[in-house]
Amino acid sequence: MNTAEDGHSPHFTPEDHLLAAEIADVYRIVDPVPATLVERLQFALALESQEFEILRMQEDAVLPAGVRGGEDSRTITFDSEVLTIMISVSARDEHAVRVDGWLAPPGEHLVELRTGDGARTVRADDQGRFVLDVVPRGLSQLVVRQGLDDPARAAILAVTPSLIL
Amino acid sequence: MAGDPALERAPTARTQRRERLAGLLLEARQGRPGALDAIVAELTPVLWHTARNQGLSSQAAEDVIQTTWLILLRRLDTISAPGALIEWLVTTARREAWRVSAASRKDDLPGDDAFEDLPEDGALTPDELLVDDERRRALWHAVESLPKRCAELLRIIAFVPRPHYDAVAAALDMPMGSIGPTRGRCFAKLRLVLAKDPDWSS
Repeated sequence: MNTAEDGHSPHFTPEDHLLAAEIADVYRIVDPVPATLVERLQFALALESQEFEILRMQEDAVLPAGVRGGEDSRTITFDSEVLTIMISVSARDEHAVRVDGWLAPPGEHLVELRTGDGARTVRADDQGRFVLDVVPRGLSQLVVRQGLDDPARAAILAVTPSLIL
Repeated sequence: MAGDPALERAPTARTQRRERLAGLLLEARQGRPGALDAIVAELTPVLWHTARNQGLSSQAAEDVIQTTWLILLRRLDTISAPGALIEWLVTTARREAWRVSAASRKDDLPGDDAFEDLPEDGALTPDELLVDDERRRALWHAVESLPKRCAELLRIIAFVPRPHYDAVAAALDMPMGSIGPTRGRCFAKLRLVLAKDPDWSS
């Protein structure tokens, strides 16, 4: 039954394979994968644990590109079934931004901001508020951890996709 | 892999590609980080064309693909075969794309932004990008003229390692028994369209 594994079903010819290759060439030209997408995905997936909630990007995700980047300030909301994070990103200078964030429901979680040159960890207060005062611009990812005293032992609770600050 | 008699008997690119993906999947499940990176590099184009085929903007498609891979990281232990991996990835990316589309409709944003091409890729149309290539331009128009299901199937399988074409058809909810014939019919329809186009000569 399963001729499928070989791609050798009677309805599928070597000419079909060649045509498929030509279709791929066409779509590589008219709609190429963004140059740095794979690299950003690999960054976001370099996590020490596989047990986490995924915080999906919400309203910011559907804003036009001009609103998404290159502005002095922007707000991004991330949502999962158990946790919501809103961050407000404001420009400090050409190299750095400040991130003000809120977790809901509030909890004294550790909030880690992973960047290309290491991670910064802060503790959310009892209102769920946290501040990352100076964050280098570039590729980053938010990781929410248990509010333990020793950050190194705090398990990951939730992660966002990678984003460019 | 040198010295493996099974591979030496059938050293086709197709076999090697399938073995490679299966090997990478095994290594990724064992926790070798480079293996997952290689899988991401290999299969992200499939997901890009899956998401873009749903009409998402570049940005929305990227979000969908990020979410899809993050979900996979949590499920890696449950997926053992490359075909199952591809079926799962394409199914999940389409579901995430629907979620984004639905959210965008619900928010009723002006201009329906999730479906608007970004300036950088809206600058040139496919016709303009393929202006010097009549044959590819003919192929692009032919694929886009097909019924939606066929166009989607052909665009996505074009980026899938050959042995796993059926995994895509399965992800597109084509009934198992009809996958081969459906795929064959889509290629046949495409050939019919191409045959009528004088710019297509093969």
